[in-house]
Amino acid sequence: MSGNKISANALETAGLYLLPMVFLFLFCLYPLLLMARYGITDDNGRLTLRYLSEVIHDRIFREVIIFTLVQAFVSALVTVLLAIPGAYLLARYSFPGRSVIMAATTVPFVLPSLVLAVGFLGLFGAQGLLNGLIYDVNSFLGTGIPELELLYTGRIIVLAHVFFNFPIALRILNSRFSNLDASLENAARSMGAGRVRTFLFVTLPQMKYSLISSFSLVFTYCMLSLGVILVIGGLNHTLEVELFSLFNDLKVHQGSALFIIGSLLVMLATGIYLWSSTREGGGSDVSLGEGVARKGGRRPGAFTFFLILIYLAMVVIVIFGPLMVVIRESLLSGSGGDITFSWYREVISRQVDPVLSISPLNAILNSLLFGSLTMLISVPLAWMTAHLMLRSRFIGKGLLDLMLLFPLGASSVALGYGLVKAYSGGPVELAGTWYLVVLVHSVIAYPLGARAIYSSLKAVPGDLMKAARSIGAGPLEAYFKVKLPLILPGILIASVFSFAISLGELGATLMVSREAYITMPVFLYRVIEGGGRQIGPMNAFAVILMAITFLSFLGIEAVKHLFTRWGVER
Amino acid sequence: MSLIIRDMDVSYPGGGRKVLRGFDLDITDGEIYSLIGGSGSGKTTVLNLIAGFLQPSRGRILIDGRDVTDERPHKRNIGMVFQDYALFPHMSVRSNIAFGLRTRNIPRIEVDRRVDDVLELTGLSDRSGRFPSALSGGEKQRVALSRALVYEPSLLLLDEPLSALDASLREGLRKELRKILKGSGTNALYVTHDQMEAVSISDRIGYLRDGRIHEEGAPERMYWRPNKVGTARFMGVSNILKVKGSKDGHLETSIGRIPWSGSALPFIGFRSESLRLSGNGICLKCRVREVEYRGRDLHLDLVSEGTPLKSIVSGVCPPKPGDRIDMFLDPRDIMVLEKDPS
Repeated sequence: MSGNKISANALETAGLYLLPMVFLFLFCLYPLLLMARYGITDDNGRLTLRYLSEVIHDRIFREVIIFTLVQAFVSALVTVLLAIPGAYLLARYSFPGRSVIMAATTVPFVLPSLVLAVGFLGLFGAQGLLNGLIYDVNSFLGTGIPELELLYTGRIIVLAHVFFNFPIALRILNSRFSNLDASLENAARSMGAGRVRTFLFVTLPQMKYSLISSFSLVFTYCMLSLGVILVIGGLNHTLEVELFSLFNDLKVHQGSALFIIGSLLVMLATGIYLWSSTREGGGSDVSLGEGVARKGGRRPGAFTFFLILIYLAMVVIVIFGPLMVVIRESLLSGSGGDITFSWYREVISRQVDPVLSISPLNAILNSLLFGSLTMLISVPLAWMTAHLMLRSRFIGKGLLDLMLLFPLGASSVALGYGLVKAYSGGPVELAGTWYLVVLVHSVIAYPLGARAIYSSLKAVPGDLMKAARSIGAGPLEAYFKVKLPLILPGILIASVFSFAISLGELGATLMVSREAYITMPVFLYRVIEGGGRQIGPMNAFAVILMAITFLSFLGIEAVKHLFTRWGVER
Repeated sequence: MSLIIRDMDVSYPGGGRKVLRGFDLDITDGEIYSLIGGSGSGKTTVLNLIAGFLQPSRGRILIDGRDVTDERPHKRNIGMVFQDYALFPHMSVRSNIAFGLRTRNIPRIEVDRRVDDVLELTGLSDRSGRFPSALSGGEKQRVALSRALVYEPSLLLLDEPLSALDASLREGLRKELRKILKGSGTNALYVTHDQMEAVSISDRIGYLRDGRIHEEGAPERMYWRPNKVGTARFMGVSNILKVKGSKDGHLETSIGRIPWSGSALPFIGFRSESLRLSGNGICLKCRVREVEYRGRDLHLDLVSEGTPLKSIVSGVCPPKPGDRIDMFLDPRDIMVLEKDPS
């Protein structure tokens, strides 16, 4: 009897353990290590530091590294500074529309980066909406307001990064603000400290680690971002963009050397994030499934309310402004300001793009197919991994935790190129196939999914399974009738995440996909890069990409209702 | 119906200290047995063993004469009520209660009938469609109890089932719980750290210490006449005195000579409520050190012959700190205590 039990456990452990580990190793660790190897060996396979020293001593590469660090630093700083007041207001005050605002902040979270790039082109471009307004004002009032020249500068990169990462910082800081012991603030107030003094000397110091962790996480993301910089960054190259062009020029050794240096810098930032996020009660785990802005909080006074209003108006304009521009441009006919749906008709016709030799509709269908397949692969893996993460100790737990970080903190361009290098010309020929696209999407998506499932698994009280067993349910019955329904929200969130990540992924997809398997972001990128295209269809295509993403995320809202109904006690 | 545990050893994984050693337990005939003990004494471990969530390193467990030591948890036919109720949050009250019947493949009509019966018994009929999140603490507790009783288990295990409730609610539920348990006729093993709860709810109490039952007996005896010093302390006997010797019908103690016929044992003890302001019996000269008002009762810290004593009296004309007063102890309230085995 007990012998059976042991072998069943061993089998279960082996399955849970091996599949995700093998998958991560084959499709993430191995390709990345391969890329790193190119950076320290020459064409004959001999060890050399030539490329590393070349990269370090080259002025252009140095400038790229410095620019990458500076833009990431400034972006992270601005993001966190902007998020502090919002997180505080949302945590401490109750006012109408609070939940709507929180829901709105998920928008940038899930928006494919190229849609924002298209929006920024429409907003800040030479012919863009803002410059059009300035022109109108100047000619009407006779003033001489200079045109905005933000596009293709470092400042617009920071702006875009703030847009994308603001919600992440907001969530981390909000959850910490909500968990802070308000009695400390009350104590300070009772001793005669004013509001500002209390905030600066009592509240903020307790936020130290959350501030560090939100900063380092945003910093990491800004180090690795690709899409917006490719499209609206102009001549400003970050590491990721530089890798992209080096690998495209087949300068593998230099690219890999640069990848090694970049990875070391990113690892440092990730390390700081991990260290700081486990402090302060680990309230920094960001996943969309977790409720933000708890109920309660006091009603704001008139002045505070005014501040809240201004802040919120700003958030709404910043978040929805670029998206509105995309929608607007997609509906305007080229001649005059008539509203037309012809761009949409053009996009979903089967007309093959002459340069890309694929129709836009085909790209849409590719994306939908790859997104669904990514979901099918990454969710079961995430489910297994989440169970593994829950175990307090097993051999290789450290290794797994580390490997799970790679897809989050690795250069997607290097990952994509590494996969092509690893699986072409050998016994396993994956390069140029559509399943490599799905595999790389799954690798990138699944650690996030694992986290979502893990956090709902962790919330299931251990006694529930015991209760089910004691009442007479076998292990499988107890799992399917009690545990699975309770972690279903996590599984659904993981599914939507995987789908959305597959839908928006650019860097790795650019490296692995052939023309016939182009996805929506790649198509959009090629269209923008080609230049001279009509603005209407480009925007219509971007709107469709945005719409598919948002529709899939509506699912998460439905899931939240399940949570509330069950009132799962945490 | 019976539970028999024989000579059980349990140690936690990784070797280390044995949580239970040579543990024996017998429960029969629809008895409510309370297992009391300090935190970390292994009370919950005993429940987990019986339920099958833990394997002993030695010993057997028999339920209704059947050896279930190697049986898997869901085959043991026990019911279990958890400290935080462990109600399934995604199921209604009715589905929670029906769960154990459905796993036993009982026909739907029969399931409905039995659930209705138990809902009626526990006064939850109008709550059957609700989800656990919409119930009060007391209601959750009754659902948990109904869920564990509905399939008529051979044994019911209760792990501090009242500890999550308000004090006022707890009092009322004790009586109700006892009534329901007695009505079901099931053997119940009730784990608690609260000796008063154990006294009011059970037919028998066992004090768990050092990995085995230190002493067991009926509630009145455990309360008024424990045999061992450790048990007396845990049951709240605050006056325990060493006996220095016995001579001509007297015991020599630190508070003086106490008339006593019988053998001399290392310790005697008496409850603080046995030391009264007036009455018959032994008169003790005391000085009042502190008086603590606790509403109806007064808690007195006294010193007699240099020995600290505690008394609980009711609160009319209370003495003041510094007063010298006579206190009275009925010799029948004195308990004789054995030394604890070390």
